[in-house]
Amino acid sequence: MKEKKISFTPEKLWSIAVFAFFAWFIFSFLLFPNLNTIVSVFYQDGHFTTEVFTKLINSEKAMRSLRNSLILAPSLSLTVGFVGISLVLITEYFDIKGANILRLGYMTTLIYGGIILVSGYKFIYGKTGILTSLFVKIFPNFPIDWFEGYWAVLFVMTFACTSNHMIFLRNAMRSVDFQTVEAAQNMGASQFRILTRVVFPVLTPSLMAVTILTFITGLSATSAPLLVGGRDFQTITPMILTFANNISSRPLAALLALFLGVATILLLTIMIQIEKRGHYMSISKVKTTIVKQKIRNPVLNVLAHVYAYFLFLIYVVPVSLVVLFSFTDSATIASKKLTLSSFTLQNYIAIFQKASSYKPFMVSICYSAIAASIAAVIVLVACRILQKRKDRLSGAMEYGLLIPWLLPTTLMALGLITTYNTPRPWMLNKVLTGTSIIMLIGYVIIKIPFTLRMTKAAFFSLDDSLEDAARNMGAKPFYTFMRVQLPIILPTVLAIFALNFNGLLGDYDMSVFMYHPLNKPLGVYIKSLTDSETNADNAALTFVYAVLMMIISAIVMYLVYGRGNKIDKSKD
Amino acid sequence: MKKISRRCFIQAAALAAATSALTACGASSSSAQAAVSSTSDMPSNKGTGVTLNIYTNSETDGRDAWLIERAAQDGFSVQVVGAGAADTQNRLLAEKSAPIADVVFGLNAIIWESLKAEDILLPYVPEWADEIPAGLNDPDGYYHAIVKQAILLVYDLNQMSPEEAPKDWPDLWTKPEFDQKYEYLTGLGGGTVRNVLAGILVRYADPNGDLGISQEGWDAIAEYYKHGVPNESGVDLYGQIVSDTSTVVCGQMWSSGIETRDEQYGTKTGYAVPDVGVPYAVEGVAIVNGTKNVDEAKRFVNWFGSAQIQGEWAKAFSTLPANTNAVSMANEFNQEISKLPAQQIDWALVAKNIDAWCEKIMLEYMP
Repeated sequence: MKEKKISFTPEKLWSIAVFAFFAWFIFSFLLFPNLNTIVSVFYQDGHFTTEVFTKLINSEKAMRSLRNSLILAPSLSLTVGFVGISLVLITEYFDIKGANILRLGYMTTLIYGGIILVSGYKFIYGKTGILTSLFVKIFPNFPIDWFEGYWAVLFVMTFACTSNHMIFLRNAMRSVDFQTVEAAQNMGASQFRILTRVVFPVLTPSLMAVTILTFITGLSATSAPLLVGGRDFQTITPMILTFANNISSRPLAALLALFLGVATILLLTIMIQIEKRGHYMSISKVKTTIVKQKIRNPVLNVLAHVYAYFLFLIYVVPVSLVVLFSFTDSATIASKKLTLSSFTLQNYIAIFQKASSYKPFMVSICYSAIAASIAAVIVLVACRILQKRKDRLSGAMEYGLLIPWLLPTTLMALGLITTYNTPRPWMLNKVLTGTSIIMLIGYVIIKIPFTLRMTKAAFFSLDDSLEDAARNMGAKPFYTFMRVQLPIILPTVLAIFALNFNGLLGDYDMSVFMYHPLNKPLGVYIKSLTDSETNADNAALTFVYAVLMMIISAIVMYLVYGRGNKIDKSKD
Repeated sequence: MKKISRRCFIQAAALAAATSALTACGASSSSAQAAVSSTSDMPSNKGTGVTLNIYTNSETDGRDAWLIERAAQDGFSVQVVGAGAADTQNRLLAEKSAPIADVVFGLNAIIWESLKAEDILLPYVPEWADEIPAGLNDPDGYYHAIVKQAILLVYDLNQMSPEEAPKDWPDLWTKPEFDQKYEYLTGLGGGTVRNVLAGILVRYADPNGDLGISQEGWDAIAEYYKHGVPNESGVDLYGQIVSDTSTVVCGQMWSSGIETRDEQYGTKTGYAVPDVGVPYAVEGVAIVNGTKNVDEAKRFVNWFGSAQIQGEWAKAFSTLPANTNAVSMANEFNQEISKLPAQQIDWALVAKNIDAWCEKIMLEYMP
């Protein structure tokens, strides 16, 4: 019998400390506050009740919205998958003329989204949209409300949700080894066969990760159904938001959120199982970057170009119109009729003249940058653990960190502020509600699942032999991590940072409950300025702020990701 | 006289500056307060410079900046935290055990009642309470009225004559000519929409009905949503009214927002004056239970609700003051609004049931 010696090497102590940290973090920020919220559904006035359940089951609207969400999520995963893969093939794999410009166009979704994006689409396809007006001129009986309902929502969201493909799938495409492609060519494989047998397998881990993201986005769709869903295609999240704001209806919100949560858990469990089964590693040890493939069949080649530029138009026209209309007033935006006289710089002048308009930008930039950094560090450590140990403990940790995906942001924010408005022993009896730190915590936790999922995909595509080699040469684990593994996954980590930063920059759902009176973040500030309940010129201001945020987001994307890519390239 | 008031002002300003410098250095506000209370002849509606956190849903169109500046002139140092009515309410509830706000203003009676029930307000009857018309203040002294807002059914006189226009809310769903001609809001969190619903539902009050409303009332609500057009995010009512492609020609609006919109959209607003009267949303002010600055909060409430300040507020933001001594400072449009007959609404019934009503509407009637 082997005798186990219990010895506390520094390494062991370190790992205990790390696990203790994660246990505390998950319990106090992810588990406890949300459990608090969920328990409130079934325990009212001290006893168990299923009244909420009955109410929802009997509501035709709730059930229809739920069904719509459950239809949207899988269908969106398919369409976004298709478009996303074709974007990556167009820009990175096939030899398409003007790929650099096409890529910029396809990447516009990285800097804008939500209500603004959907509004942009409505400028084209909506009742008064450019395309609709054109159709009506040609066919006078053309229905002006053609762009409404399920297909409209699916269309808008398909093109709105390819951001992750443009980053993560593109990164994966670059790690396809060209030598293998060449070898396959020499063996006489057709282009199609090379794609399906050589290229796609390398993309699979990233593709699975981004598909999960798309599915979750589809489940929690808000702006697109609100704006183009019409009467027939409303989804569940807007309903959750309404109920969450109504104190006595909050249990309804929590229960609806639980329905979505269960769907997400099912999906995640399946995905994690699949991932455990297959080990994805790059095929070659000595990588050669890809040489773009010319499509040999001339007809297909022309068709591919037409398709590429058609997609480009779909992407670029809405965002151009948003920028254009930001120079007009609300009346013009409502009527969508542009004349030369409707242009004005007044919107921008008004914002830049007011000193108080700068501060929210600064506050949000600081909070978002710090939160995105903390999330990145926490997740890097977590991924390192997940990669090294595949036991129950690390499994529990992974599921724990994914909790924020199960609940809408609003409910998590409420959970946090109602949990920490009294002293809790595990928080050293400090009250967090009302301090400037609680919003930071909120920002960090809503970004953890996404960060974890994408970083993990990057870790899984790491070549184990590199680490082995470093260890054989006597490098310590920490040194190996810092000098060998981190540099390889750094582009991905930075890209995630940029996406998280951009996502948090205009956050409203979390911020509104948590911000410190002295530090009003951008999302809350914009909302108060542009709320149609209180402000007449709201539509124009919304567009102006959207454009300003696009500029910041684009700069961050360029600094963090664009430059990172260049460094990456120069190394090749 | 002039000299004295000027000296007072300079004194207050100096104190405010000194205090803010102190707080900036991290000194506790109580020490600043002690320093101030030694100067005894401070009138009760001048501030001492202790920083107050003020929550409000009425901070837009530059109201926050105006308030901060105007209050500073009278020695108050205030921070304004603005958010929608429901968000403000949620925040106050969440912070119940560790309140951050000292004073809240702008909310309506429905929300005040719920805050009062949650023990979030501190009763205090301000000096100007007698200057408010009967029925607008809380009889228990928890909140007091500052601004009156008429909730109107509006249309554009350029498109519709008063004869053609709806005379009362039920016209919308009982007369075929208004089918698909009016806008309803899909979100029920706003103060205006809740007042509209309350104004319709209380007509059908029935103690034996579901949630205190007769079946006839619920049928009316069902018809209201059946014949209306849902609002479109990002486009407000006036945007719909002026749009060629939208069938919408009328909808709900609160009175002090009308002037800016007429300016913005080139409309000329007309409004229905129903026989039962129009619902008035009354914006009030209250002190938060648990504030560490009770005395300063009281001074602020006395100052803010006074005829002088409410009159200036009315001039700056086209509001209709609740304070009878300030009504004369309101503009012509608001003078006209002030003469509209008020609908008799059982606010206790509304406050008790509005959340449940909205929930029922969301679940059963909203398409």
